[in-house]
Amino acid sequence: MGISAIFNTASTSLAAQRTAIDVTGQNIANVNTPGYSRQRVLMENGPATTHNGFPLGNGVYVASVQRIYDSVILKQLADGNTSLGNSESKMRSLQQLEPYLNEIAGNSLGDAMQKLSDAWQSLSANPTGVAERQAVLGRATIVVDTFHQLNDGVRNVQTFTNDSIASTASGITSAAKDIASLNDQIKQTEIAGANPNEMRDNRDYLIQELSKKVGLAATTEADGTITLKLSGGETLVSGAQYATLYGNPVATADPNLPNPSYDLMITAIGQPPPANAPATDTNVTTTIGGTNNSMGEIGGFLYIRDSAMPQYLAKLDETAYNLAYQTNTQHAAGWNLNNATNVQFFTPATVTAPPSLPTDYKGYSATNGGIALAISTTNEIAAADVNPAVGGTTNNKNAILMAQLASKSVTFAGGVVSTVKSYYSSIVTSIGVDVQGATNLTTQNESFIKQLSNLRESFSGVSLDEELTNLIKYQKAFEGASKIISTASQMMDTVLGLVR
Amino acid sequence: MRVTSKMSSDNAVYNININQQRMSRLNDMISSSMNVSTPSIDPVATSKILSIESQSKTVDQYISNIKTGQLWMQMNETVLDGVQKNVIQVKAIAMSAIGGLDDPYKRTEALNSLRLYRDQILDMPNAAMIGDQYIFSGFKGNIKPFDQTTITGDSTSGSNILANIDTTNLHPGMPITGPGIPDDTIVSAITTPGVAGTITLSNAATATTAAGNITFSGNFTGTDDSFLVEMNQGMKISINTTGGNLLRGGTPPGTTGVDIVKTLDQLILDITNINKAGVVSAISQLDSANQQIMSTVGDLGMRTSRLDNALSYQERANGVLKTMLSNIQEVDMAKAAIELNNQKNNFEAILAATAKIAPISLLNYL
Repeated sequence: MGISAIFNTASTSLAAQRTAIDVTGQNIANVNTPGYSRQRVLMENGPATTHNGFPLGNGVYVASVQRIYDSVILKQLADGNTSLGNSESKMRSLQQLEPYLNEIAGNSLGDAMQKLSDAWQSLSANPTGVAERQAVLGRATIVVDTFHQLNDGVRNVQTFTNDSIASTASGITSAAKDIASLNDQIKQTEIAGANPNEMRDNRDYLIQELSKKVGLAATTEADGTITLKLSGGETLVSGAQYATLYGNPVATADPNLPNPSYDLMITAIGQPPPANAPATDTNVTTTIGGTNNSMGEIGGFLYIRDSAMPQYLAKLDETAYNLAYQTNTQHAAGWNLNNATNVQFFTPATVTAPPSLPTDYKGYSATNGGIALAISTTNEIAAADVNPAVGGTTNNKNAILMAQLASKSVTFAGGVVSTVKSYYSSIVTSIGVDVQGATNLTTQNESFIKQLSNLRESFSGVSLDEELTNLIKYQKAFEGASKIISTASQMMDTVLGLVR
Repeated sequence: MRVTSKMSSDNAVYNININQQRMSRLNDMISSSMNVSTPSIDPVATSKILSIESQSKTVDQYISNIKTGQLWMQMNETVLDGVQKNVIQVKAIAMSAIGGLDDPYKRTEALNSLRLYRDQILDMPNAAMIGDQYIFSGFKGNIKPFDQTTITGDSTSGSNILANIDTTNLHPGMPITGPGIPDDTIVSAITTPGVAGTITLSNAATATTAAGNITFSGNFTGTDDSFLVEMNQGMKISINTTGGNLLRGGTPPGTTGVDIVKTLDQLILDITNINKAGVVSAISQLDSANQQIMSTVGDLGMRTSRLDNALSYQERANGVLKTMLSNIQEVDMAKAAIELNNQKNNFEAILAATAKIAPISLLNYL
């Protein structure tokens, strides 16, 4: 083995240690980069050759730069993010609705109905009192206004989630495009023999973020690309191709849904995907959110828009209808100061007796076409049970019966027997249960994600102390290799000195 | 297990957030003095709170009704007391008049006093109003219980006869006015009863009038309906006494008791006609009238007692409801303050630990 072999051996070490220091520097630089997986250098000794009858190695080579990651943890994180995105979107939406239904804060619908009942009681004590009659009119107006405000509040949440569905679909498409692009880059890089570790990290991070928005099934192909499919099996990303997910506005006649509502459509995959064609694209509205719309933000928004808010609207509508039915029935039986009977108190007319509801009861609590006062003057209030022209104007018997309606039960849909006010209180309680449930679930999911993140960070994260130790190690090795070269150089000088 | 600096910082941030959430909740409780400020904090407690608040507000309204009833009772009692005193005075005048019936001056003095007492007895319920409602008029509270009544009749100058007159609400002794009818004229007799009947006046008319407006007082113009208010769910009480029952003995007059107005008018007629037997009979009727008023006073007293009991019950019930609400909703300030202080100490410890541990690195020693 000649002196030149010593130079070769030392130079391989210099190169290897320099590469290792590069990798360590890369790790240190990306210590705070989200989704970055630490890399480590795998060194191997050079193939042995025989020198002077003895087998000797030929230095050290960098076999590979290995990316440290755990695919199982990444899969669990994706699933966890899907659940977290779903519960967060539900929680945020329900929290928007809660203040409208917060009866504890006062001045909400329950308080308004109570004060209307009190006004009827006061009227029963002074049936011709102008102030008392004005109070009945005023309180009834507040009840009507409050129904409208609550209905608007629920619809605002619905509109927000409807808009969010469209914008989330747009975000999903954007992420799908980026992932498809990374698939292509990773494939080309590997074909060229280079190392796409950073691109893989980017792709994994994008998938994690995307999984929060929508439930995904990810499959790693043989060529290193990842195929992403939605819950219903539709392909979102395949190799370098991706599909466009978009919201298609569709007019609806259902008054308890936003008009228009966005249907979610997906195109075929392409690079780029074909133009949107709602007539032929696949409608994924009923499948994209998974079972019971339990996956991803988009599933949460769909649940809120299509299930939760319509239920609250239906309950509000039924509450308004039954209140109006009770009031109208009793009021029509009485006589007002215009000597008229059969006068409705609320409009639209309530012809169907609970628990049956007319087909058009939906929207009864809405501002447009919903509950309103059918009377406008104090004389139209029917406090008497016989014609005042005959029986006297201070007949208060119907006013007493009107006041007693507050404690009179009605049969609601589903067989619930309750006073109107108690039924509304149950709606208030149910929003509390729903918000608390969504909040608790979000907290649990956050805790789960945190634990998984810790696991991932523990396995794949960069430890500064560890990298600094490695840096010292490689630096010393580099210095050692440099010393070998300087020693071999002195040996060469000595040999050359012999020849001169 | 490898521990990276990012893990440490993420854990620190997570724990800091949790502690801040707890402190925020405690702060919200202390500043609002409420355990439950939104339904999601405790849905079960929310349901109880709403139920209790609803019951409490309903009880407040019942209390308001009871106090209205008490006010009506007080006014009823004041009027009845005044009417009773007047009836007693009328009886005294009648007893005094028996001995002086033959003396025209004593007769005139007695008649003048009786007419004044008649007006007072009718004015008292006519003046009893609460708000804009006459409380003795039943369901016709917008008009006086004994308002002037106007009908039509034909008078002939120089004649005591009024013809074509509705005699339904007239009785002998009733003062009557109209065109050509002298002052202090009373109905002497109902000659021909009916809607187109005839009556005889105590004085001759001074003018001939066809369908002239004839006015008289003493007719009960209200209704005998009970004015009810609700003291509790489904529990109502009458808070009125009607003028018809009080002074006219029911509707039609005299059907359920003594017709005090008719008795008084008959007394005036009997003294005018020097009818001693009639005056003696009137004194007996006035005794019965006094008993009738006392019976009504007793009934008012019983109803007032019911109202008082109901008020006492509702106020106790309201107190219980408010206590129940307070137990659920009111924050134990001492406990909350201690918890907040503990949480604050925990938070400061977390921040101090994070501040001490976060900067430590091998870099400091190289």
